[in-house]
Amino acid sequence: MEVAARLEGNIAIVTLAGQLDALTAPEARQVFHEYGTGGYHAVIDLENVTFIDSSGLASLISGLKTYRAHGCEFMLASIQPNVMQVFALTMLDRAFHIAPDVSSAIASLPGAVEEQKA
Amino acid sequence: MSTMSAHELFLYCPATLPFVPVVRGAVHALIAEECDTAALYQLELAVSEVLTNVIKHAYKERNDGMMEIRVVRDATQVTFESRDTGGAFEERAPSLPASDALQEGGYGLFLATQAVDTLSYRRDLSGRNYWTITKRLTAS
Repeated sequence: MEVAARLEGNIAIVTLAGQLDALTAPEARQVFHEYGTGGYHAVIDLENVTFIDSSGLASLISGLKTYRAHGCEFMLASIQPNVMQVFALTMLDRAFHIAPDVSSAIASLPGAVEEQKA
Repeated sequence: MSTMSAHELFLYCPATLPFVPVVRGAVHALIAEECDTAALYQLELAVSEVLTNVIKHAYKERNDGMMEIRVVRDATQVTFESRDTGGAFEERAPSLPASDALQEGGYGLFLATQAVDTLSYRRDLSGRNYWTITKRLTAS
């Protein structure tokens, strides 16, 4: 799996690509936590993630809890339909804020709307 | 002497996490042409959950365990069998954790049972564990 992160203002955009399972989840979890303790909101771009299992879900839940604990948002964006099945089956689509794409996720975050319009 | 069909796959591999995507990939290659992508994902999901469970719980992430995998595809369904010699699985009915509890574990076997038509486990008297998954094929 490939993991890339960049900052846009107070938002960390983490782009994952490949398969998020027990083998790769620790790396994703580590990146989530690096920014989650720094006061950033996070947008996790899942457009190129082709597979997530329960271990991958656990890494995302861990990220969500870390950001919430610091009063920040942790949003998921661009989830592929097959991957979305996993969120629906576990009803975790109710727990996460899920945006259709990265730009709409960014626009919905506190402090980002004005910046986008400026 | 038994003969393998063109729709049958055997793998004997280390019970370690790097081999889970290898097995998923092999299953994918065997049935991708016969199955829609949603059903294929569901089968790979169940395979991933079962094998990860074997590695983490039966073998407790030792590096010397092995998994014996057999996958058979016929006209109507895929049967996936995994055999290992790790510790016994503590059988319990898979249940879904409450989504608002944000529990990080406990989804695996629930997901596996939801994703396929049957999922079964047995352990024989010599201490081998057997997991069997069946999934009906739906046309792509």
